[in-house]
Amino acid sequence: MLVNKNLDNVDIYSDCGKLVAEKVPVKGLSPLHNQAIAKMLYEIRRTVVINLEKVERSLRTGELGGEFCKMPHYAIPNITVVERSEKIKDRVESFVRTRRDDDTRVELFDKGKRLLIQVPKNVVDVSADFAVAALLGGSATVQALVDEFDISPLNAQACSTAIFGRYPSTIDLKGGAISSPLGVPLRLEHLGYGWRTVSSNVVVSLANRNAMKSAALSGCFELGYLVNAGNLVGRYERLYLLGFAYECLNANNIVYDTVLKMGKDGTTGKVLCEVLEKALNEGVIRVKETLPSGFKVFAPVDLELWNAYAASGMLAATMVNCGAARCAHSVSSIIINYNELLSNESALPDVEFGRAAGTGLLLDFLTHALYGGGEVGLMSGNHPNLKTTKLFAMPCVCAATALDAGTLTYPPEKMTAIFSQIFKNVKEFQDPIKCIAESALSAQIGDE
Amino acid sequence: MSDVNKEPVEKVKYKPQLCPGRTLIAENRRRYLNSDYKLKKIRSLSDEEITKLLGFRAFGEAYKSIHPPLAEIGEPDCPIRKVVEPTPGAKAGDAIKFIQFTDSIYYAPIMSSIRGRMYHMRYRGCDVGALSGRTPLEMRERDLEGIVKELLETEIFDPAVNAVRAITVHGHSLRLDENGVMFDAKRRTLYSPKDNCIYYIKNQWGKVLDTPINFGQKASEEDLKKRTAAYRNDNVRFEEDEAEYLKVIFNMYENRVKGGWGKDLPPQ
Repeated sequence: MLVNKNLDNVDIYSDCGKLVAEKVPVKGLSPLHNQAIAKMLYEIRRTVVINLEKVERSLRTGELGGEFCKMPHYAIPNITVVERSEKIKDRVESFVRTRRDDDTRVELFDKGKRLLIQVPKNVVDVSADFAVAALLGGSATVQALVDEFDISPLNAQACSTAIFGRYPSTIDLKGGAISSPLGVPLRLEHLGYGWRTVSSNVVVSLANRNAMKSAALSGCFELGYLVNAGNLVGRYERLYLLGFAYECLNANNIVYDTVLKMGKDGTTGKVLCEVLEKALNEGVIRVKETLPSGFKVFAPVDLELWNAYAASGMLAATMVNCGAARCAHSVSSIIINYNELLSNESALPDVEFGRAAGTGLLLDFLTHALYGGGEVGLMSGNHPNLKTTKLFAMPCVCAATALDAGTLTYPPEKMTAIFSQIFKNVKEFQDPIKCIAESALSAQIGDE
Repeated sequence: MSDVNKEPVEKVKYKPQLCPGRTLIAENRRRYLNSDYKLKKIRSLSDEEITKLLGFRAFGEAYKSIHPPLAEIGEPDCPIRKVVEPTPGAKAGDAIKFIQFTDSIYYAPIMSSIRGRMYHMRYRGCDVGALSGRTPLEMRERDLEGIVKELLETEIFDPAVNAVRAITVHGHSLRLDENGVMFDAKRRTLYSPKDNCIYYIKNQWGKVLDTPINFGQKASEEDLKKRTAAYRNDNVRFEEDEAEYLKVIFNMYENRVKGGWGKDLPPQ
């Protein structure tokens, strides 16, 4: 039997630059082998949060399905959803739980204002896509409301609209009370883009505003997408796995070490030169030819590894520049100019062979109100812009969002803070770099 | 494992090379991009004049803030925040403000593409827009004021062919007027033939200033031709540096194709 053995090994360092695991096989970082990444993806896939406070408000006023939709005749003025949230929770749990000992989790947060529902494994296993948590959790809550408040069949539809919003008149849950880390399947840009619907606000909340961990988590979702969409196969496998190891997991301490050196007075250009120096000294690139002006044309000795170095530099430059201004918006500018400087400086191929530069350019237009709106925190890999760079751009966007000190109109705290509370006891989300590295070691790649 | 780490390589200190080429234009580009090179100062502007030109606040007025100072709000526990020092503007929570330049195609010392790269080589915490006819630079307000002085007082700014325009930027690709000044629909600058000086009579938004700001004499065309970072057929032709540039571009594209397709380009 043919087994594609990939024998690259890397040392993985933590977000503080401490050695976490030595000689980690990069093959073990693939979600196909890595239990830690698989666990994260599973947890995200089965999670949904219902905003009970919003349900109560909608039902009391009859403002169902978002703006412009006022239907006072549907209103149930005295309904006390938040007050009776404990009972609603019990009812929902009885609907969702399939066995006494399954991994269903139904919990209340924010004094009964938010209801977390995590559907059990057997539900996830039989579902064809990732809408199951939102649909099952939403339906269970609708029925719990109808039962708990003994709502008449004439008003019961209002409960459904309060939770699901205008769906199915719209293709998503517009105006509803469901917030899910993932988007809806009908909004996907292309086939297999499910994992890319996680917005950078969600990632930053999951990572508790830690920039390195935000980049790591973002990389996990992108890797999940790469597997899902058939991109992590054949000759591209090594490219993306090395990129993930170096950029997202701080392999060989390139990202942290560069940021540490450049923290006080570094600029994007200085970070680039630092990364080129590292690549040159470690033999990843070599001088191919010296031109009459003295300009040295470099060539990569190992193209995939060079791409991983370049991507690490891009993340480090983001951390230095966005970190210095404590402002997320400049990430697009960094992505363009880092790559532009890189190709003019060394004649080497830029990050993901030109894709990152293109992404940066459109991201600049979108986040600076030139063509339509958008904000760094609301961006996801499923966006028509960020979809064009696989794996490498999204970690930069997430790290930038994490380093923002309050210049965003839609910051993570306002939009998705609940996710940091939900997963505060899941060690994979709290310390992704360490968990992924240990899991890769225990996958025993190369022993087969 | 790949061939990379097998042979020990002698450690070298990397020296930025910035761009290829042997002509004066390439030299100029390298000068402007090099963060160790101090740009030559050719005029003096007071802090008050710069604040007025930007038009975001009255001189002496406090900076507007977008969030409380970092020391007050406290920062989340993140190792990167501990090692990356915030700029003074970020520390104080200043709002983000901008300056925008329009650079004529007629021998402007510096233009959009080089500006973006220069800002990212030289300045921390900058956010440069990527457009063809204008270049916005967004920063925390006090950081912005700190560097605008350098951008306006040095050799990279000539008041006739570079302009500060927040709005109505049109003009970079138009022929210069009879005085050799770039077209401006808002008429922010005034050329005085008496002293051959150019005055800003309006701020970057086109609002009339109390007192005009004197940007000094405009440079002669010969002088601009020596200072510009743009290749032109009627000055230094790109063909003079073409061979080097094409080698750089071909090397990059060859490797991009290899990376994207996993194979070499077919023989031509």
